[in-house]
Amino acid sequence: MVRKMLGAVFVLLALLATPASAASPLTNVSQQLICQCGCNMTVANCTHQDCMSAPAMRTLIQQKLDQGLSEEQVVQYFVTEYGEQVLASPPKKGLNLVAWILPFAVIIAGAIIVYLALKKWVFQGRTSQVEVKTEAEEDDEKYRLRLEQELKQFGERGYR
Amino acid sequence: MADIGYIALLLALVASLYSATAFVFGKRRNIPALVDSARNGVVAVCGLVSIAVLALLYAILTHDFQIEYVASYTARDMSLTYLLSAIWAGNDGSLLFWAWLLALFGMIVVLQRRDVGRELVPYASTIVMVTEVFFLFLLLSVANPFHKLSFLPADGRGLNPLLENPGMLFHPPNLLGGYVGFTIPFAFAMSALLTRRLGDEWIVSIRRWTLVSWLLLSIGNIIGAWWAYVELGWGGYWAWDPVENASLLPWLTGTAFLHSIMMQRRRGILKKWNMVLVIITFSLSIFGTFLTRSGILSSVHTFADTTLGPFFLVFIGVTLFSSLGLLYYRSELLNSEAEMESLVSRESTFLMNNLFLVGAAFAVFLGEIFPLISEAVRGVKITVGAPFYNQVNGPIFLAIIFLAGVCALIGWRRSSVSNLMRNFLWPLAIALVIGSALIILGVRQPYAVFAFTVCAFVLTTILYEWFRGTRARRRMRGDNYLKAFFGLLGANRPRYGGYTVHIGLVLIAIGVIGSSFYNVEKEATLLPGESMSIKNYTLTYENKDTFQTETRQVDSATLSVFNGGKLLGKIVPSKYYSVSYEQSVTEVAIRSTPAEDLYAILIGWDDAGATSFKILVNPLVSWIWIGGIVLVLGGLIAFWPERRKLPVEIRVEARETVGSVSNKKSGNGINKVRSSSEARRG
Amino acid sequence: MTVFAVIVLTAAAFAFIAYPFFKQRGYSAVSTGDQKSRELLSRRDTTYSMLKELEFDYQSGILTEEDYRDLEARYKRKAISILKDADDLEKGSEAEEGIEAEIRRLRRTGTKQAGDEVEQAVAKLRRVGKNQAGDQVEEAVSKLRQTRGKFCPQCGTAAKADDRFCASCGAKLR
Repeated sequence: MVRKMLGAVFVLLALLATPASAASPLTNVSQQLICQCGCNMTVANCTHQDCMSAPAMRTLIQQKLDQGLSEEQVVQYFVTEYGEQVLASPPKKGLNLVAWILPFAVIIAGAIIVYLALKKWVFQGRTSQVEVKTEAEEDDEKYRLRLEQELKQFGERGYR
Repeated sequence: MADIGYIALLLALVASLYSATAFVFGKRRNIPALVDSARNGVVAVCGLVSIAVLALLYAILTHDFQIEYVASYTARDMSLTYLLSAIWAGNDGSLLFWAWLLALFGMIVVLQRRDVGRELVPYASTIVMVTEVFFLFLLLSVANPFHKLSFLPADGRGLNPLLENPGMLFHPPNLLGGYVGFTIPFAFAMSALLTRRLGDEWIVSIRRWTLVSWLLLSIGNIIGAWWAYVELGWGGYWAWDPVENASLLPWLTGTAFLHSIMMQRRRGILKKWNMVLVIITFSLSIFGTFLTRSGILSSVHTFADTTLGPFFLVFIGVTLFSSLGLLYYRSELLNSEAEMESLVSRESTFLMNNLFLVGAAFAVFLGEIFPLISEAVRGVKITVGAPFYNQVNGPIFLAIIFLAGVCALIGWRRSSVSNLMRNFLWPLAIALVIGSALIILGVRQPYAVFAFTVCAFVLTTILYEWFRGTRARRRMRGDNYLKAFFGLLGANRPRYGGYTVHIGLVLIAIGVIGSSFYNVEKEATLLPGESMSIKNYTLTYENKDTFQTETRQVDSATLSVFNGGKLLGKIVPSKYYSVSYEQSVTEVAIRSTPAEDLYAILIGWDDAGATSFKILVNPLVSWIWIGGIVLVLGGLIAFWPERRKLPVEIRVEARETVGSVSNKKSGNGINKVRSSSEARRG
Repeated sequence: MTVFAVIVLTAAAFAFIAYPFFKQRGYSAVSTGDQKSRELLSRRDTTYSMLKELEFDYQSGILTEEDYRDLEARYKRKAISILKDADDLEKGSEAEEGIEAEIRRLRRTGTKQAGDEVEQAVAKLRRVGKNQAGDQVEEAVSKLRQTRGKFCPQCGTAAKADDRFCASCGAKLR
């Protein structure tokens, strides 16, 4: 079960490596860059009416693309111009890898803890099962009848 | 009136301070009169804060622009509904609303007739009142909604035109309600720790409080997404803006909490974990309020006011420190009494679900604070935006949804592998068929195909489970299918309400996957009479209109929409300039069908009549809203109280069968020992 | 006008909060309820719900027959042991109640030497008393020893030596 989950996570991680998109180069690039008007949105998404930055950046991107630069080169151009903070998400290298990997590392570590805890509890369950007391058989029969009756009365209430 | 409002807040502060202490002393020294008086104190606080709210409303409705808040957020020309919503339009007002909701919830807690958890109420109320004191203190010092201007403006500034949307009436109060609501589970948890009553009691008392807070938060977020979609005009509904993230965080941990309290109830496990979760959820709720209201981050949600920040940080710090400290102090009382039968059981899926939900919350939180880390460590400013969150959270959310399907097929306690195979066979087969069908139909992106297949799988498992439940019920009681189905829903509302919520989530997921992988957008500049085409649509620009309303100067462009030569209708995107607010706003036009939305934005025009449009086709977006409605319905089913005769039934039944366990007589026997000994002590 | 309203508001809030102190009787406050039996009840209900759910899961095919039989037997055993505990608790509290009544009777009759007499009687009761009740009696007895005061002639509640009225029923003390 847990192994299956971990497997699923890895498959998904592998899929991550290939984020494909059908949009135009302009959209692709402008989705990777943050608008500089302070809105915290990507250039593609900024709709602030008084935003001076997004339209200008869009024009610039188109210009660079028309000059024959590839998408990566245009993005790189903006990074050298504005610094790393123009990127909508941190590049997957150096310290930034921490941000990309840590969530999954935490989940995997958590999965291991969950697995160990479950194992412990199942073990506890097996041992305590033996301990259930079975003294006074005729007494038990009386209780068993009562239990059946009460269960019938209990109806179909779920957990409150 | 404003003075009365302020004085009422002042009195409320005194009363809540009194209540908080009186509960503790009354309970410790066992002075019933003091506890009763503290309880009245809670009611009085609610009354007093209500008076303050009414005073502010009165000022808003009578256009008392002497009051700064009224002048900043309302104007004479606003309609009644938006005037009412001005209560939470600004910083101070929304804090007042927060305090009012908390006082209301606190009052409900002390007045509620309850069978379980009565012992926890005094300390829980103390926690609620301490929180109330904090907000009242803010209202009286740095965020006073009754602050007066030294002059009397002729008219107010009015509401930001972006906020003029029905969303304004529902999004903020629901969200705030959700934030406030999580105070109650937190308070009961702390009370359980303080009184050492760490059994089922506190969990039973707060299940529905947690559910209602969760529901309010969900409704708030869904309405917020819808609002952003129809109003902000960039064609999306979720921007991973810091404030949105802040409301997602308690939602994620709250969802985890809702699931893990079931584990404690059934199995006596996760006791410490539940405490941690409730503490985190409450802190994140305060953090959410703080982010929205502090102005440290700029976004559509923020109102510039930086004085509040330190207060909130101190409050969150004190809360975290003291509650986690208390938890550590009591930790030996919280050992799990766990016993499990098998590794493969629904319990395991619940644990995994907790893990992924908290993992997702962690990822969002990390993204939120990572720019600070990067700046501190490398000295380089970076931005963590939508692409990061989508790529990191996408797989985690998908895993969560997958688990929602798996859990419906695995029995509680145990599942043998062969049975599991049999249970999975049909849903898996159907999901694979749907997946292949999608590939044949032209859905080619691997991630999308995979995600859709997972959604199909989950949907089938839940429907399959419902079908089998209905069938079993029909067999057991001989009802017809319809009756059996509704009987099934009614018999175990938490369970089937939960499944309904899961269906809602899957529908939302389908909408999100469709609209993020297959949206198409195109910009075009057209002269009247010219056409453009996008996907299978052809849009013809008919004409532009300019007209003036009382408050706005509107420019609207009419486009005819054709699909393969057939006229489907007209859409009219527009742009207006709000005279009073001196701001221009885009009003998008959306043509919505279950399959896709045609989303038109008017960008601009030149004197020659050439008009620029941005047109998007967003597939499956309406599924998100439908899913949202289903989710809320499911939440309501799970929340709906069981018939009220229940407690009586238990007691009668108990007296008849179990004996006089809960019988008054035996209870009194112990009581007398206690009360007589206490009388002697006092 | 504002001043008047503020005065009324303050007075009303104060009166409302102070009211319970002047109320004669019937505090709605916290009842000390029987925690043990409540907990047992809650555990019983949880186990019953589980049994119901097991049955339903079996009927709808989530559980195999083998698993179902096994789990059912297990939870039935658990339920029965809870029922037994509940019965034990009840027996315990009955015995305890008898002891309490005896103590009260003794106190009411006794005046000066009451202390010793009660002490003796209680010691005897404790020997006889059931195991479960032992702790409660022990506690009550230790309280009795500490105070050594007088007892109310009306209801038998102990009072401190300098008390003039009974703290429990309000009767005048000799």
